[in-house]
Formats: sequence, C-alpha cells, structure tokens
Amino acid sequence: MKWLTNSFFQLNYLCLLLCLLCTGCIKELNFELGKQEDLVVIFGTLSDQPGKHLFRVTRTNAFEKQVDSEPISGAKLWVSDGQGQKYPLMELEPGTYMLRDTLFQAKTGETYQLEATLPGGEQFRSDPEMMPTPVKMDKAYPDVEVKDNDQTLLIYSDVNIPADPLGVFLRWEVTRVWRRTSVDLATLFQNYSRFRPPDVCYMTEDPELNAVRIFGSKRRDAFALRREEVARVEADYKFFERNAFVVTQYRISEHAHEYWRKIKLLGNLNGSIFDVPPATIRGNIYQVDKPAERILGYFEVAAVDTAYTFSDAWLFPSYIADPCRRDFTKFEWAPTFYFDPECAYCVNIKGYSLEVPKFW
Amino acid sequence: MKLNLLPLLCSGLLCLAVNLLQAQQTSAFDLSITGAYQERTLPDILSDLESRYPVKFYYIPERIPFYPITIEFKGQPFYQVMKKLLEGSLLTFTKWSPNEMVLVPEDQRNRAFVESMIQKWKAGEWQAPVLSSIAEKSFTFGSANSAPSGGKLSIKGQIQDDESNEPILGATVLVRETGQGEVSDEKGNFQLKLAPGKYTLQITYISYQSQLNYVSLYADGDLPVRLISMPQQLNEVLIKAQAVEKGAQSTNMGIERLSAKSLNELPTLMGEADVIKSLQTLPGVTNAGEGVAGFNVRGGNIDQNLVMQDDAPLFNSAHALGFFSIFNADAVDQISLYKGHIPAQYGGRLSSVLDVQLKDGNMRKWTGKGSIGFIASRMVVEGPIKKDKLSILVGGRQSYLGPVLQQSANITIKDSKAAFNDGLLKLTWRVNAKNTFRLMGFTSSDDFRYAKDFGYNWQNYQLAAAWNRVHSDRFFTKIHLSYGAYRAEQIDPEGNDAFALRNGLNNVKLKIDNVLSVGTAHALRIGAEGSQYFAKPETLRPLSDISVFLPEQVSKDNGREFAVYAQDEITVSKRISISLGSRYSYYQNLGPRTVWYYAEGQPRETLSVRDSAVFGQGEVITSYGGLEPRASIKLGVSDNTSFKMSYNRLRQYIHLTSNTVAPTPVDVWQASNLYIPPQIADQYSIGWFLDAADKKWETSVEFYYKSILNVLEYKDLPELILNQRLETEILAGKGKAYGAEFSIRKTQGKLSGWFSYTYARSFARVVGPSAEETVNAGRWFPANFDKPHQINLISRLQLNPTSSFTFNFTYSTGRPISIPVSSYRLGNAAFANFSDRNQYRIPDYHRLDIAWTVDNRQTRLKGIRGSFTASIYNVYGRANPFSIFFRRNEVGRPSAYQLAVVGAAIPAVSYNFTF
Repeated sequence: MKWLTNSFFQLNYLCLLLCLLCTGCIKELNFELGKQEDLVVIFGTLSDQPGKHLFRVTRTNAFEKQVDSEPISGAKLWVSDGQGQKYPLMELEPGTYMLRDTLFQAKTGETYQLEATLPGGEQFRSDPEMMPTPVKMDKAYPDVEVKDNDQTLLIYSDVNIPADPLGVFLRWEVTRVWRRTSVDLATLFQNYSRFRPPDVCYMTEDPELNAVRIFGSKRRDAFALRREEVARVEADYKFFERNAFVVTQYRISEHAHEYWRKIKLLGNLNGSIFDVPPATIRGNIYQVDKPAERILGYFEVAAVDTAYTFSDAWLFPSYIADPCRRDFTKFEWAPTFYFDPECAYCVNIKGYSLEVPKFW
Repeated sequence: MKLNLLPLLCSGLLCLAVNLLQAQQTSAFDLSITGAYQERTLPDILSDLESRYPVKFYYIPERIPFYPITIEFKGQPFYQVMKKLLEGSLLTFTKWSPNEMVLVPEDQRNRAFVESMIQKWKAGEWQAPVLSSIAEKSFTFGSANSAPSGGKLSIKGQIQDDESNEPILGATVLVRETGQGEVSDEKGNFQLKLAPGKYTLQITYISYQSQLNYVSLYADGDLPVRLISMPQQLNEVLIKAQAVEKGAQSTNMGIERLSAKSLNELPTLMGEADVIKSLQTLPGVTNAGEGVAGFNVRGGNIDQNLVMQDDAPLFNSAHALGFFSIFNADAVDQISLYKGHIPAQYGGRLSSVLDVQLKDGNMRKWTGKGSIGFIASRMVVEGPIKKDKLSILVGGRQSYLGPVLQQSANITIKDSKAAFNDGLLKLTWRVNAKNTFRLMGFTSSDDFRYAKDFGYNWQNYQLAAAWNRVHSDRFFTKIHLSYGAYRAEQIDPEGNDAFALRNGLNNVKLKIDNVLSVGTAHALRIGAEGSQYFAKPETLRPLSDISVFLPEQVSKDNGREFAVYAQDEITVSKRISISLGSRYSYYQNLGPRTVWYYAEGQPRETLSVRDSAVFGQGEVITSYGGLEPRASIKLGVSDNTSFKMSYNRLRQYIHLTSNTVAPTPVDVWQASNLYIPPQIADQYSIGWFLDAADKKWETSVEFYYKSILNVLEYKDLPELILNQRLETEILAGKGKAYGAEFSIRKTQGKLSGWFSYTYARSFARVVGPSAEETVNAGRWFPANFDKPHQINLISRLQLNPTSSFTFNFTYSTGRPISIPVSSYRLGNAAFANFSDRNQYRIPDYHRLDIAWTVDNRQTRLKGIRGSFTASIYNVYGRANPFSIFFRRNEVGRPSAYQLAVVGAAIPAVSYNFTF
C-alpha cells in the first residue's frame, strides 16, 4: 500500500503534542555533515511527445554546496527499444544529453532501455521500461485556501482515470510563469522621450522547491480523480499580476512511482517519531560490471499530458499588494521616488523573458 | 638540667597514677549481678546492666537477637550471667578491657573484627537498636527436649498484607543471629533452613511496619506473617525495594524491581506516574526519546520485551503515542524487569520480561486511591464483597486533553484530539486456604486526531483468569488463562486519500505453573504454556465517496506456540546456589494464508515469485522449535560479596514490523513464517555484587554478551503496509550486543538512591544474496538503539517526616542515524543522498528532573489522606535532540535542524490521595 504513506509522511505528527507541551522546538544546528560520496547520477524522461528528450549525467556533490551536481561530459548514451532499434543522444551542454531525433515519440506498449558509457569506460544500463497508455488530464485549476489568515494558492488537477488492470500511476510537475509589468515611468513623469514604454516580463520558476507530486491507484475500474493537489504556493507579491501554471502530467510505471514515492519520503523528513530511517534510493539503472555499485537516478518512460491554468489577484480574498506601488499623494513621496530596479525595469528580474508564452 | 628532668618526672607521675587507678578498679568479671527481667530483649538487658554496673557492651546491632528473655539473677557472677543470657544464641562474649565486653558471632571472634566493632561504636556508627516502631511476636516450634541433635530444621511461611491478605512479594526475611536472608516469592512464601535454637526473624518490606518474630525452633514450623501497612514509612525506604534481589545474597542477576508505591515520587513528564518511564531510570534500559512508546533493554528492539499485566501479554503499552504508559500506577502492586537471567517459566522474547502484577482487592475494608494530574486523573477503589473471601478492585483513568484542545483559537488544534482512558476490574475469590481464583479485565483506548488530516486510534483488551492451588506445604500450582486483543486504526478522514487502515492481533494463552519444594535444597518449577496468535487481517476501506481507494484486505500470519519448562533452584551451601532450567518451545505457523515461493538464486521480490500455495484454516505451514537452556550460579565470597554468572537462550516467534524511527500504533505484529524465522538469542552474563555497611550500600558490576540469530532488519525504505508479500521487505541478519552495567545504591537513611553507569553496544549485520538484501555492504553496523554510554543518578532526600525531595539526572549517548552525505539533481529538483545505515549519531541526551513531595497525612479531610508532588521535568530546559533532519532553505542551501520534543522546563503538580 505504497501510496498510503504519501499522506502519512507529509504530516508532522508531533506538531500537536509539541503544541501541548508548548516547549518543543526545531532549531538549526551546526552539524558536521559526512564526507561526500562520489556517485554517478543518470536521470531523464523519455516521453511520447516530440521535442527535447533530455538526460543528465552527473556526479553527486557535497551536500553543503548549492550547485548540486557535477556534470560528466563526454559520455555516450543511447536508448534502445524492444525491437533492437537504437536512438543515440548527443551532448547539449556539459552533463546534459539530448536525443538526436527531436521528432522522436515513444510508442505506447513499447519497452525502452537506456545505456551509457562514461569517459572512464564504466558501462551503465537501465532496466527496460514500458511506455504506458496516455491518460488525459481533464483540467487543472487554481483555488485559494485561507488558514489562520495565510493565503495559499493550490493548483488542482482533475483526471478521469481509465480502467486498467495494472493500475494507474501519475506524476506531476508544475511550472509557474508570472508576469511583471514595469512601472510606466513615461506616463508618471510625463516624459515620453526619456522613458520608453514599460516592458512586460515573464518569469518562469518552480513554485515548490524539490516537491514530488505523485498519485497511484491499483483500482481496476475507471474513476474520476478530483481535486488532486499538484502544487501549493503561498501568496506573494508575484500574484499581483496574472500567473500561469503549466501542469505537466506523466503517466509512469508502478516501479517509477515507487521510486518517486521513496524520493518524496526522504524529501519530507521532518524529524518526527514516524520518520522512516533514510537510505540511498536505488533507481532502475545499474553498472554492468558491478551491479551492486550504487547508481542514483532513474530512466523514466512516461506518457505526457500538459494543461494550463491561470490565477489573477482577484482570486485571493485578501488584497495582494503591488510591491512597486508608491503613495505620491503624500508630501514625503519624494524620498520614495526611486523605484527598485526590478520595479522600474522588469528586465532586471532574474530569469526574465520578454517573449509572451504561447499558452498565455 | 632541671628543665630536662621535668617531662620525665611528669610522665612518671602520670604512669603511677594510672596504675593506682587500675589497681583500684573492679573488673567486670569480679561483679556479682542481681536483677530480674520479664520478657525483655537482650539489648534491653544489656542496657540495664550498663546503667547499674561498671560495664560496657559492644555488639553488632544487626545481629543481636531480639527474642524475649525472662530471667532472674541473685548475686550471680558476671561470667555466669553472660553465659545464661547468650544461651541458645549464636553469640559468644569476650573481654576487650576489664570493663568492656564484646558480643560476637562465634565464627568472627578475632581481634581485628572486634577492634573494628569497637571503633564503630565509639565513632557513633553503631548504636543500640530501638524497637519502638517494630511489631514483635513469639513463636515456638517443638520443645527444646525434642530437638533433633545435628541437622537443620525448616521454617517456612507466607507473608501477607494484614488488611488485604495479599501475598507480599520481595519482603526480606533476615535471621539476625546468622545474617542469613531470604526474599519472599510472588506468593509471599519464604523458607529457611536453620539449626535448632532461638532466632530473631526480622521481616521488612517497603511501607510496611517491620516485624520481629522470636522463634524458638526445635521442629519444622510454619510462620504466618502479616505485615501492617504503614504509608508514613514509605518515604524512608523508598529505594530499598528496588534493591531487593539485586544484592549479593540473591541467586538471580539482572533483575530490577520497582515498587508501585515509589512511582508517584519520581519526577515525570507532566506529573504522570508512569511504569515504563520509571524503568528507564534503571541501568541498561533506554528508549528512542521522549514521546516514544516502549523501551529498549540492553540494546534490544522494543518487541523483544515481553510485557505482561497479571501474566497476560500486552502488545502496545502506550498511551498518547508513547508519552505515557497504560499501567494504572495505583493498581500496580509490583513491577519486575528480568533483563539478565530470565527464568525458564518465561519465554517468547529475547531481551527482557516486564512482569507487572496488579494488586488484589482489599479483603478487609473498602479503600481507594487516586491522583489528579495535569493531563489525566485516575482512581482505584477496592474492597471486600465478602470479607476475607471475595474482593473487588476497580480502577480507571481518563485524560482531559480534549476539552483543553477545544479551547484553542487555533483551528488545527481545535479540530485535534488526544484522548485516552483505561479501565480495570479485578476480582479475587479466596475459596479456602488452598484455593484462590482471580479474574481480571482490562481495557485501554486512545484516540489521536490531528485536525482533519489524519488520526490514530488503538485499543487493548485483556481478560485473564487464574487459579492458585496450594496442594501442600511444598507443592503449589497456578493455572492461568488469558485472552488479549489489540486493535489499531489509522485514518485519513478527507479528500481523495480518505481511508481507514485497520489491523489487530488476538492472543489466547494458557499456562500451568507448578512449584515444588524437594528436600531442603531444591525448589522445582515445572510447567507448560500454550499461546495462539490470531492476526486480524490488515484492512483498508475508503472513507469518502471520492476516495481513490477500494476496500482491500491482506491476511496476516497466525501462529501457535507451545512450551514446557523445568527449573530447579538448588541451594548447594550457604554461599553457593544454582538455578538450572530449560524450556522447550515449539511453534507452528498456521493458515489461512497464501504462501509465495520465489525463484532460487534471485532476490526475493515480487518479480521473482515462481509459485504459490494456499493453506486453509488451521493448516500448518511451517514449524520451528528448540531447547532454551537457562542457568545461573551464585558463588558467595563472603556474606556480603558474591559472583554470579548466567546463561540464557531465548527464542522469539512474533515480531513487531516497523520501519519508523519509533513505533507507531499501526505497526503490525508479525508471526514467524516460512521466510521469517524465529529470532534466537544467547546471553551470557557475569556479575560481582557487594553489600556494604549492613546492606546500606549495594554495589554491582554486570557484564553481558548477547548474540542474536535471525535478527529482524529491513531493506532500505521498506513498504510494510498492506503488503501481502512482506517477506520481500524483511531481512534476517545477525545481531550482537555487549556491555557493562555498574551501579551503586544507598538503600537506607535520609539520603537514598542510586548511581548507575552503563556501557552498552548493539550491532547488526545483514549479508544477503543481492545488493538489495545486504545492508551496509555486509558490515556490522550500530543497531537503532545502540547508545554506548548511559548514566543515571537518582537520589532522594527525606527532608522531614512529611516531605521529601527527589532528584533525577540522566545522560545517554545519542542514537545512531543516517545523514545526507551528498546531493544530486533529478530534473530541476535537488535531493539528498544518505550515508550507510546508522553511521552517525544525534547529539547526546541529558536531563535533570526534580520533585518535591509533601505528604499531608496529618490532616485528614473527611477521611481522605493526600500528598502533593510538585515536579519540574527538564530543570535546565535543555532541548534534547530527538532527531536530526535536513532541509533546504528558499535558495536551496541545505541546513541541519534538530527536533526537540521537550525544549523547556516543564513544571507539574499532582495530588495523590487515599481513603
């Protein structure tokens, strides 16, 4: 009953008793982390959609470092199918490899296997993964939850789960695109020659850091999965203008679901008495010569579906303040005249794009 | 020149004066004594002689006989008087100086010993005994004329509570003249072998009035002892009961006993007197941290402890997830923890046996006891239904956290629940002097809900019946039948994941225990035991219309366990005693069950299933069995010093499957099956025990080594819930544990308590046929409960007759954990890669608690006598880490965090009352 533990471990069971005791605490600790283990990590998803099928080949990095993986360049990778057909990958950037054939679409029911040879000659191979039948998302939509005066935007997904004797296993990734319009300085100062018309920028980011959203059911009959939470974003200034959420749904194998469940489990450790003892998570890739060697990552084969949903400030019961707003009616406006660079010109925001997304 | 002569002159004069004085002084042996004494004790008579004649007596206060003496002297020589007075005793007298007489045991008549005696008297360490608070009785068995010449006579008896007729376990019977001691067994029985003569048997037990029995022993005899409860004496001997059977004179080792009456005075979390938490103050007993159920003994898992209440097994003894235990402290009579030598009558677990005996109801009058605490209140009422024949004891406890939570403004807390209660009923029917029936029913219930997110509820039920039959003075039988049930449920009440997951276990146990005394040197125990485990299927049911779950049921393994045992307690000599025994246990794994067969040479996983077989109801799937020899020997070096050794083999056929840091209520008890063989442990112990200063101080050092076969381990991140092929997640490994336990106890005086230091290591090793089935590349790794160093200091200061102060300091090494050693990315997300299992440790744990108890017994309010205990748990507010976990902040930088369950000093007040 693997999916039971998902909800089980999301929760901090001790909270209640901590409240009762009024003394429990969580504090940051100077804890000497262990020495880094240098393990190979291979991860990528082969999908039924055309486009870039990307795979990363890296090594684990010291846990304390923010840059999490050291790329391995010069590896040779290829995907082979059950018919013996091989699809080579090329190195797009250090450690990142892409299927040469960008029109490639994995076929439903076909099995695929990833093979890799590192510059040192070590050979790696994945277990065969079968492309599952696609499952369409019915819709994705936002809703706002207010709890103790805190507003949180939830992204839900509705999915009509088809009858399948093997069950259905899904994973979601959500990307947030938020819009920021620069302050209209030309109008504000009635100086159309000095200031150009305000830019409109689109920033793309992950709304949840390191979140794993999965669902699995072994029900054999068809049923409707409703209001499945796929993202949770606390209300912030970015919601002042429209946000878009790209919900990508992967139908994955039961084995892949089990892998992600464990990843999620370890990502949600909160120190409670019900935490599982952590351990290295093995995927479906192994070293050909040394099968016992620990290799991280997973070769995922998934049927992908994408949905879009939007949120506007009016969705939130409490007002979302404009972070760039200045009160010019007051005498003291002059010292606050100068806007933050990111307000004045949104192109100062990290990761901006002036290109309007196709789905917008 | 004159100056030089002066000192010589002075010293010469001084010598002359002394010689003259000595010449004039009468020696005691020249005295003629006159006096008449009616029913007086020897110390009384000696004291009288000292007041009337120039003579001073020295003796060992603990060894001076107290039997009543009626005698008359008319001008008789001193020597004859002394001979008369000491006639029949084991004492002789000797002259230290002309007017100083020393009374010593015959075997200790040497100058060094006599000198040390006199020094102790002169230093004030020894004083004449005061008998005012001691009850006295006289018994004569046979007559002096008919006494057999040579050989020994037997004196035996039963020690009972005078009010309730309950037998008293652990009372000390001391023969003052010989120093010989005995401790009453669970039926209150004791037996001594003595040469014909006069003796003083001093009987003591915590919170009871001590009793002196003056016995003239000229034939075998029965000595009925009825001790009178004296609650006001409790404080003065609080720690003493804990030392019973730990001393140099007991054959057994590794046994800890706690008196229920001491529970209320130990400082505890929120003032709740707690059996399990109190045990954790003893050497070798730890647990994973605050708020964790169960306890670990000598590095063993919590399921390796057989926890029994009135001989009926319990499968979860926790209230409120483990913050408290389910035992009602007011109904508990005696708590015994066997962790070293486990007698043959016990089996089924590897590490320890916790035997919690409940009181019988009072046979004479109605009484009650209770406590009003910070989070719960409890009460026990007991009394006769028919005086001296049938008694009842009813007890209960109720928490009131629910209403407290509902007052919270926080919706999450308001919607939460943490309620628990328990109830107890015990009937005792003393049919006649030879037959006693007992019937006990117990229930406990917990309901824990966290907002609308999740919840747990679990219940224990026990029903036990026992028949005690005394066939003869030497033969006793106890037949015990119990039924126990445990139910647990986890719920998620709302959303797509709404479900209820339920499991449980029923247990029926029948035990026949016979105790037979053969001759003077053998105490035989022979018995048989049968136990059956009916595991309830794990069931899942959806709790809402939109739940994605379908009803599901996974059947669990049933098992049946038989055992026969025999044990002989052999008294070879005064200083050598041996306990030899063995148990043969046999286990059957029973259907209904589907058994899966896996391809040979392949990892045991779902993909390697090659065949299956269906076994019907009651069909035997597989069986295990074997001998479990037990032996223990005591070699007394002196009256106060002994070496003890023991060996135990134990088998465990039922295991708690848990893959969390601490057990959860829904952890499943898994009976051994084709793939989960019984765990087998061999434990070797050796110890040195020394009682000093008339048993005021007791010291011991114990060393142990334990090896375990088939220790239960798990694959990394196992899936144990609703898994019909649980064997694919479970690994059988080897375990070893070793350590040393040092303790020093002060059992008497205003300041009492103990200090203990434990060095304990516990390791496991799993080597499987594949990488998935091997842990840490097949190397030994620290078990989850490996805490090398543990220090406990418990002390208690009796401030005055009505108040006392208790101090409890504890320290232990942090438990082992696995931590992130590197990180990696999957897509855009970063994740941690963890170290090998248990290669790091959380920081050390230490805590100081204090409690102050005021007994206002002098002021009875409408017949209610009460005492207040004010305590502070974790006085210096240390945030002891329960766990370490790692999180990345908003920019992805990882940090270590520690979770402390209790991070501040927690004061509490409880009121304990009796009526």
